Amino acid sequence: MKIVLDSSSLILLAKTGMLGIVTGHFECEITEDVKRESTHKKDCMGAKAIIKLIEDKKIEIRRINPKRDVEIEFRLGKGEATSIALALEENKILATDDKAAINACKILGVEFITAIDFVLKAYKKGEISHEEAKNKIMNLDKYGRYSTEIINRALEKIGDKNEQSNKSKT
Amino acid sequence: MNKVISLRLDEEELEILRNMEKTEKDKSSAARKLIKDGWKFSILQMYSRGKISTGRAAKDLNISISEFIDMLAELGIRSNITYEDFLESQKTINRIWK
Repeated sequence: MKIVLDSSSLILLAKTGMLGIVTGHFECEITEDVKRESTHKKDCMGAKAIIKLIEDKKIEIRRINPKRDVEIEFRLGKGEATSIALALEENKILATDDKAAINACKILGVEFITAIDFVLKAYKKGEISHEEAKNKIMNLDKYGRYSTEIINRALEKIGDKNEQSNKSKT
Repeated sequence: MNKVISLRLDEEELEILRNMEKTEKDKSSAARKLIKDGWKFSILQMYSRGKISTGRAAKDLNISISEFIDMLAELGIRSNITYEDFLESQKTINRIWK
């Protein structure tokens, strides 16, 4: 199964140490614009992991022209616009953690997933421990900045039913 | 290169500049800081309201997406991905990763 990742999900997965697991399960593609956006500052957290996976050919780079009308209408960046164009043209699923991109996906009929979905599934499949899943969810609370409702539901799903994300309340 | 422009400001705006001058070295520095901070605030507000994407916001602020994500985390700005979005994406992951 091939999936397309935009910069928001790619960076979040790298920051939470999930990118290796995701590329192990899916054939991952990113556009040249996403590569540029996520790796041009090589000292940024996660950039090195992304570069390594590109070099190891675990992430394929695709050249695609951005849909200018999509970029303008949904006020997207080039990476998001080209990722949506790739997913749309080749009927692939887009991993994105950007609300504007999700809105565009809904209107254009592109299926989407977010970084937290991979963490929950990896836990369910026994690929990461409870502690790892919890740490990754808390990292996603910080960097993914999901709503309290989503974080609490995710914690419930890994069995931390009464866990509250205090940070999320701010 | 800096350029000189003339602006018409009312008394309230001048008072803000005078207050800013206390922490900046002069009126020009104060005005430049206010413009930059105002631009940043405006971008963050548009992002928070879902009017622009992460990529667009980072580009407009002339920083990387990773730096923008760190900035949002530091400022405690939540994502506006809804619970309904989450439910929809959960269905998709369950279908493609069995």
